[in-house]
Amino acid sequence: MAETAETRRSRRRSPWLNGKLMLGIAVLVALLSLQWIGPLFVDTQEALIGSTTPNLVPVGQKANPALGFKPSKSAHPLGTDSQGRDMLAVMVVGTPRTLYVGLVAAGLGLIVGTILGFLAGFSRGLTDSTITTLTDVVLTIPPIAVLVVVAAFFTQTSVTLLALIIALFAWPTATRQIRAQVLSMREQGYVKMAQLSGASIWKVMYGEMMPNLLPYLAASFMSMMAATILVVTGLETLGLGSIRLPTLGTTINNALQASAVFRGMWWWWSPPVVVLIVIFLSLLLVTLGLDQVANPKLRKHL
Amino acid sequence: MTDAPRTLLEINGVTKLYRTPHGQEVVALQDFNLMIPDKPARIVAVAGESGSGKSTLASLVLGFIKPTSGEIIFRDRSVERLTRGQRAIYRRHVQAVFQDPYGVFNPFYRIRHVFDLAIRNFKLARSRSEARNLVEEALSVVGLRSEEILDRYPYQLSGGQRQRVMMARAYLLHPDLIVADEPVSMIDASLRASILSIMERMRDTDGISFIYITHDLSTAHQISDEIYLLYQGATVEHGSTVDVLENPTHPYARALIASIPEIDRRWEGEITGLNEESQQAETGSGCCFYPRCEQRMDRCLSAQPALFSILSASEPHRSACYLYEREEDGER
Amino acid sequence: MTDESSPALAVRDLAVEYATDRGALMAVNGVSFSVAKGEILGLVGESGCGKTTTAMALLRLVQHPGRIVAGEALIDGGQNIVALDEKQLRSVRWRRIALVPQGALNSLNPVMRVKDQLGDVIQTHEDRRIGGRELRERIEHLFMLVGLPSRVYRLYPHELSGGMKQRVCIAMAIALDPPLVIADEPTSALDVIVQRVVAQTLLSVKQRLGMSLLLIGHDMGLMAQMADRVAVMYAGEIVEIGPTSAVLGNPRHPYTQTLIASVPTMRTRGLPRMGSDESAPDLASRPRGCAFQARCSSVMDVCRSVAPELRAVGENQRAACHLYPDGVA
Repeated sequence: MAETAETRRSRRRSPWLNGKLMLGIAVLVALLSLQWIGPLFVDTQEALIGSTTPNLVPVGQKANPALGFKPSKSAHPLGTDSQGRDMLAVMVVGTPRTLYVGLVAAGLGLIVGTILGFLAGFSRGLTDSTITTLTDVVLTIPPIAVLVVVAAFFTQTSVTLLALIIALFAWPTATRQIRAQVLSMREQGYVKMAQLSGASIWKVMYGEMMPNLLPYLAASFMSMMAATILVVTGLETLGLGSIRLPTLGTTINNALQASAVFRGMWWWWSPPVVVLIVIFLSLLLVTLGLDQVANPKLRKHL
Repeated sequence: MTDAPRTLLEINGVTKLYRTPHGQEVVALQDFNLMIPDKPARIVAVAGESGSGKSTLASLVLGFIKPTSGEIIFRDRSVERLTRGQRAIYRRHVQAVFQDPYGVFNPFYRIRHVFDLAIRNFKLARSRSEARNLVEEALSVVGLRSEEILDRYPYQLSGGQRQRVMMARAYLLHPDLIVADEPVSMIDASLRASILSIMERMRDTDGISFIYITHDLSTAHQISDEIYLLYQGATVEHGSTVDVLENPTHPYARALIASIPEIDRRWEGEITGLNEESQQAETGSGCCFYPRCEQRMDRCLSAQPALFSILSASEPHRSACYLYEREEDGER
Repeated sequence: MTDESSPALAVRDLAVEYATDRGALMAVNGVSFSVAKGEILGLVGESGCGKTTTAMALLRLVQHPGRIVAGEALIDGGQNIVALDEKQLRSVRWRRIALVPQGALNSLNPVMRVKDQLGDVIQTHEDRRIGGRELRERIEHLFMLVGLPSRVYRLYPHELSGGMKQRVCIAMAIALDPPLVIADEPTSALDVIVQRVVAQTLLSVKQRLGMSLLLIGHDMGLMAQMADRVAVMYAGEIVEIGPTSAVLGNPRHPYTQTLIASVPTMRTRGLPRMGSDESAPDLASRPRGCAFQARCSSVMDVCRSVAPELRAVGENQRAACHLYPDGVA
């Protein structure tokens, strides 16, 4: 069927192409891709302890020898910390790792939440009661307290393990939210229509309801990512992360332990903080952008 | 035993109760009876205002909910006792068209999805070209062209077009009965006739019967053959449409018809006091219309009246009002 | 500054535009009409014709992405509502012009008792402070006008039936005795019998207070019962206007004829022959010429190129149709 001018015009201004969404996703993708692009420009070995000269100030700053700082070298534009790690390398290695934890934890939490939420919302009755009770019980367990204990127990936590543990606390919220959505979608006319057309329960859930939930799931995913990154960074800042390879949180912890703030070593603690701010802002932008897709009233025009 | 004429649908003494969160019992439908014979095809109107129980009836007939008591029998098969597999077969014989032409389409899919779903699940076609022909034929019955409709998204069609697509979808399955739940309430007045005429055509040409659920007595008058008038879950009047609507007997029916605003006739007088207050069961037992009836008597407090035959009518015409009670005609 | 001879409402060339991703569309495309003192004018049309947008524009309630782009609306020959700023609007709303909205469910505050909501409206818009006893008397007087029992005074909206809620809305609208009331589909959500009660309440209130009423609706039958004059809208324009008996008894514009033919009557069975297949045109891509050309059985060549103007086709009756080029048919 020939595409009319009307459809061409409306596709160009598709609500998915709004500025917030695209900017947010672009930034997140860029940060994540540091995993593969970063090593092309920066030697990631320099993110390890003792790999370079410690206490180098960043390029453009005068070094105050009284404080033990050494003048900058162009090979280390962001300076180095007091344990000999190149800050740029630390950022290149640490940012994707932090994002990775967020992705895995949020992803797992969402998958479990979707399955359970759908089951509870659609089947009702005993299945619903069981799942809801379980969800509510897990929700009352204080996550930080448990995570602190668990993380302290596993002295060498890998990022993946940390992500899995956090996912255990992420799924209840997702389950609740998705269940609520399913309960209201169940009453939609097209669900009844699909049932009248002979569709089985599974076909209705995944064929009819799921596609309409996608923007909502995407937004949920973003906010869960923000929450999990916050939790993991919090744990790491408390000193419960892995020691060997840096992440944003462990860097902050190292900086605090070495009194970097008092010593004026702003190039140690501020890069991870700035990157964290950028990550959260991007997640927020994506959520706002998705909001605009889901809610036509928020668009600039109809 | 002689061969009794087959009935298509028989609803016997169906009552549906709901329990509110406060523990109160709400009677959605009370001891409802309805009978549609197999032939000839007919449009049976079930009319009533909000709270009359007509939407509950639709859900019951379609098998979405079960009655609290009573039974619904489709061609000698009890609907509420169907297994899941049997219900799938039932859906081939009884289909629906709903009120809201916006909500019945999944906004994620194109229009063709509603047809594909039905064809796939009921295995209506053995090849893609056969499926295509079936869909084209169904669309032509409702006056639409497949090339203009199938590849569009629901938001690109008007309300009237969407409703016609729904009719085409129901027709595709060649059911025996279609439950049309307020199919034109959300359509502009000037466009209703085209949708209603599709229903007439399906009745006359394809032998499909309809249960036409509506609050608008005027459209019921236009196309239905028979009418059940509901008030708060009970049938108050039943008979051929022409008879009931042109010679109403029950006080509620008369008040209702007199209140319909018409172009060439002014409302006569004023409706007095007691009008919507005292909605339900202030009388407990007794006639459901007692609180608002201008002709009520003490007799009316005893029990909900049965449907009494109107002896003066030429065709069967019954009214649930003690004004028409006869000792020997207490018919249920 | 009121002028005894001027109409309660005089609207001239009112236009409201909506921004869409397909370009600007004119929801109201140059509409002019007037409502005389003590008169009921019915504004009737189907979905998308612009009647509600017109009402919203008159109350300055049009929201983004819509905006008023042209025209004026004079109340009592005095202020032009379209040109007022927020401060002036506050003194005009409820006092000179009030609204009876469509769905009472959305306009009554569910957590306030009826007496408080009515009291609120009166207190906020009167110049002086009204004491408790006087306020109560005024509210009970309003109840009497709209036929509400006095027990409603202390009730919450959810304890009222649909018809009672609507009558509370009418009481709110007349609380400050405005010269003009706009009723936007006041009975659409109600059952037939209740609709009649509320409609008759509105009529009796208008009789007693002598205000003017702009009644918006889609039900021609209801217009026949209530309106003195009626204006038919299609695609954002008025296509016919005149006394109710004239327009309904002798409709000139083909759309008016279609609309009237589609109103079923209890006296004859069967569907009208004139059922149309197309709905209103896409306002974003208006055709050149008359907006009704695609559905009109009497369409001519001129209809496709020139948009018709409202011309006199009878005593006080005007229609915008090329079938009547020189006025009276």
